[in-house]
Amino acid sequence: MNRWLLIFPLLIGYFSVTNAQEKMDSFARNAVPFMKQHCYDCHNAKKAKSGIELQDMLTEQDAMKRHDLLGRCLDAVEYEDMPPDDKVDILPTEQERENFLKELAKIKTKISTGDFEKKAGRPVLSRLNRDEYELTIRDLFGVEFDTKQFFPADGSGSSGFTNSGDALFTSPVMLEKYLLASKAIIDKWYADPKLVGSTFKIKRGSSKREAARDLIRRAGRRAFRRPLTEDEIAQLMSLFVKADSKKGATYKNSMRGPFQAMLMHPAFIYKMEAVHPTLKEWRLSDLELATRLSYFLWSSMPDNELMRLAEEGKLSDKKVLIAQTRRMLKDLKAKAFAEHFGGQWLGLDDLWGTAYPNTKKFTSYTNSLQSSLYNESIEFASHVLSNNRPITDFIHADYTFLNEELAVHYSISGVKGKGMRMVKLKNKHRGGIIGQGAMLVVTSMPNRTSPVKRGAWILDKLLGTPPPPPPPNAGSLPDTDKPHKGLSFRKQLEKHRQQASCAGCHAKIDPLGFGLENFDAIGRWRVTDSGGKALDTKSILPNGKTFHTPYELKRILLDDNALFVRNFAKQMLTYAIGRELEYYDQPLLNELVATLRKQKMSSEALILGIVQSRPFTHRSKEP
Amino acid sequence: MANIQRNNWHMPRRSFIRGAGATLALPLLESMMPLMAATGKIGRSGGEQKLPTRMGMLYMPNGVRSDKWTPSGVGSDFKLSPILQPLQRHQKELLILTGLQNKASFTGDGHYVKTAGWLTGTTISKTTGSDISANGVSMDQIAAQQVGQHTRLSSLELGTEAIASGIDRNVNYTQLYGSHISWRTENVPLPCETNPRAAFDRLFRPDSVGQGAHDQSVLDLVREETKRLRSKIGVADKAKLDQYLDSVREVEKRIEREAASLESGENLTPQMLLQIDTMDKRIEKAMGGKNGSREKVLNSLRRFNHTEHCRIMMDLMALAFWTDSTRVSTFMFGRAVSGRDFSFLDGVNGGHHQLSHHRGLKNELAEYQRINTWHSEQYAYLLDRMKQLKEGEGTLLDNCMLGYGSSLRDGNSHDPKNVPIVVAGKAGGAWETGRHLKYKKNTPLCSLWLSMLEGMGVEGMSNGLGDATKPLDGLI
Repeated sequence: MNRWLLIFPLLIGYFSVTNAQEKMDSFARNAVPFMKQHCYDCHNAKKAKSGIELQDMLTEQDAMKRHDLLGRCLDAVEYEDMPPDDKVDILPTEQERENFLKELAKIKTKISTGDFEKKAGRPVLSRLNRDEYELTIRDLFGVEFDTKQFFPADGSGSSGFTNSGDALFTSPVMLEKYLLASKAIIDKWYADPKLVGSTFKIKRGSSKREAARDLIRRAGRRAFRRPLTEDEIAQLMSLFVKADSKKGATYKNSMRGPFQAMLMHPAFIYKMEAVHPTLKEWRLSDLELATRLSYFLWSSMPDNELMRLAEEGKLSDKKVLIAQTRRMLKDLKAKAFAEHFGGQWLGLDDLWGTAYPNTKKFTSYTNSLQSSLYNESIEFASHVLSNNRPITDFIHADYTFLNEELAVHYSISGVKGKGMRMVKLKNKHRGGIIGQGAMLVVTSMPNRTSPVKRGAWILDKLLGTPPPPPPPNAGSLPDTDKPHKGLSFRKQLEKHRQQASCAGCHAKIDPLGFGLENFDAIGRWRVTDSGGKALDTKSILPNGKTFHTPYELKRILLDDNALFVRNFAKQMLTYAIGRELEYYDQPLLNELVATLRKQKMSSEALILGIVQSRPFTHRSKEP
Repeated sequence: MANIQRNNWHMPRRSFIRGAGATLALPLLESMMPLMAATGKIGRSGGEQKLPTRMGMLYMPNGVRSDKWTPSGVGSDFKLSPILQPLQRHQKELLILTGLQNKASFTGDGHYVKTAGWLTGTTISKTTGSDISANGVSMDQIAAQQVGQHTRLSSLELGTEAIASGIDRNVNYTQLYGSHISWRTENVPLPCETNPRAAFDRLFRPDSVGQGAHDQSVLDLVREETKRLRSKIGVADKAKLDQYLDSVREVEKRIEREAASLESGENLTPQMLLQIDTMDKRIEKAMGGKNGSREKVLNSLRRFNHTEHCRIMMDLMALAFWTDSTRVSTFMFGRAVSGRDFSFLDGVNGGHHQLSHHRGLKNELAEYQRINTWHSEQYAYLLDRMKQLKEGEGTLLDNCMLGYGSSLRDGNSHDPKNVPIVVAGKAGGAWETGRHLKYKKNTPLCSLWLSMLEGMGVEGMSNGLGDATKPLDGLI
């Protein structure tokens, strides 16, 4: 055999190795070896302690893509939490530690300064979720169609919101339901003369077919949120013609098919956006922008004014876009924004999901009280978002929204009737989201409060810094808060977390929850614990700050609001663009935070910043 | 393409409910139910065709109290464990399998890998959302793909809890995984129907899918339009429209199957119609009465008696099997990490997941065991029902394989080894039941799935499933 044949593969191997080394970026050269030596043992695919895997982070690009994790690594190594001094691992030298941190810091700087190729990103094609479907039907036909009892619930993926395409699936069951819904909706619409109005009047001098074509054109434009192509009109017309050629057919009845087809059409079900294969990135068309805007603020289709401006190509004009956004926020339809963005950000849907107050114990906890709790928070969020209130109202406000039932629940007098209304609060503890019953219930156990869950909720939802998971076998607390062996519930909790492996995190989580102990598991004010003893609400934060009441906790959160503000901007941007944020969105996030600070936390300033931003108005080609 | 026009026999549901009730109403009912006919001839007594085998999988969240699950003794001479005690009257119909495990679920902490991968035998992608994948098709769907064309619905997914949203920060998995055990493709999880009324209507309501005068032509148009639009978008977006296209085709198939059974003139027996009618009334009652508005009905779901909710869903499964509306079904008692409050049980004071983390404490263990036992009681109820429904020379249960288990063993430690699993029913006589079978360590749970697929007559599994290369020994 020719020996060159044997050497040849070796040569290739040689060249590719040197090539790879040359190509290795600074992160791969300097940070990866450190991680190999000090991190991989615990943070690999198999063990993944704290849910963290690092073995795939091999290049600068990898590290940038996982920017969230990077920040956590940086903190952990900087404060010498990691690698742990457990006498198993070799600890890095000061120099090694410093070099590693330098590499991470370099990437962090790169991300925050935007030192990389700009990118608008692209959300995955998303179907209307069931809330959007319901509201779109309302606006399209004036028909009320309750999708909650008809369609299966939608999930949410990494974004935490149910409007992100990556977590919205379509299965045969769903399609069956679309089919049934389309028929039911048309039936309901047809049956109501008030809603149908003059839809089926044929203009003098027009034939039935001309009228049908015109109606398909007009209705289709609203259903598809864009003008129909001639081909699409022809397709829909063919259904009309087929039905209309039968004996005894009426114009109105023959239009059922085309209408049903519109509601089943992918152009209706999906929020489609055009692709430009030759471009790297492009501005959305005005019509696409109108759709994004209306689903952002209304969870529904654009109205006539928005459609008209889009068709005239005016919506992308800055002044028009701002004016329209303001108009839409003032519209009643913007309630959907509060409900879907606010409700899902804060996890209020858990009221109907994971929260199960024991109604044997809490007999006043009724279905209607539960609805009132939910409505309170939604009305509140709606007020902040639509009236340009500072976003810090979410932390503390001197008002809330109550009806009689809820006012009694909160021991507030003078509120009568079922309707929710704005009520000025004299008591400083109640205002803001963490004094509202909805949050307090979803963070409680069936029989008791959970300071841990409440603390974790504040860290996660409000501040955007979810605590790491508990170690396996961490155990849990008793299901009731009865004193046990002479220990109050709080004492039991404190004893439980004395273990070194628990104390570190719980020192950050629990005080926040203790500060809310004055609110019981269904959100009522209390001053004694279940054993009848005075509540111990003293809380000491890791930085030594001490507080005793919900109001004092809110003051602390307000005084140092950096995390909250950034997280709020992040959540709203995520909701607006329907995808998880990436590293290339971080510079925008910085800008939005700066805007908020400049404009006194104005919710409107944030919303306007988002709708004019690159990821909201542009789309990139696929990676 | 089958062409179903609006038929004379078609009647609105209202008259269905009003007219139903007394036996007198049966002929009327019968006229409303021509679609219910089954290809397996089970509606007719004394048919010569072999009765079809059905497969149901019942998922119990949060594991079991380990020391109270496994029966003592092996083979046919065994004594049921405390948790399985409610099944005593069905002991002869059971196969209790000890020592099985799903190796693919060993990785990753917590419940999600184990739940979403329970029937797939694969390791799901670790993700907080953007690229959800089970990396495999679940065994119920493998069966549905092959035997589904014989029935009106290729499969039926039932549950009691809505999909949980968001990320479980404890383990960094999207909670979507915890709400789904059925995977139609690796990227398409099938949602559970949790509303009994909606499930009933889908199964038995006469004016169901495909009956609208325009449904056929609408679907034709939508299929073609989806194809056209699909060609104009990027790869990731295409995958989304593919799901739509696939769903359109599946619904078209369902309509064809309904039409075929209509044409063949087969019908449901009066006994079946009576059972269906009884079911309808029971749902009405459980969900707040006839006068309740839809909204009220929905709100009542929240406070739905959990036992009754589960029983109605399982009854629907039994009826769907008996009427041969489907041969494959799954039921989730709850989703993974379900925190459902079980204090409706005497001696229990707390949520399911919370109590599953019992820390070895006596009281918590007792409460955990009580919840586990409650699940067995519900399963026993389903077996009762299946025995009451006669079929051929025997009962419906004889022609079923009903799996009941959890994807964890001990809930406190999330132990994925030796998972609790019971199968009831003789698979049409193929299996010798009434035994406790102990397998040697590391035996794949997927081997059981292969056996069940074999029982369903599914072919093409020679490459195995998950970590299993062959069916389980000793079942036949």
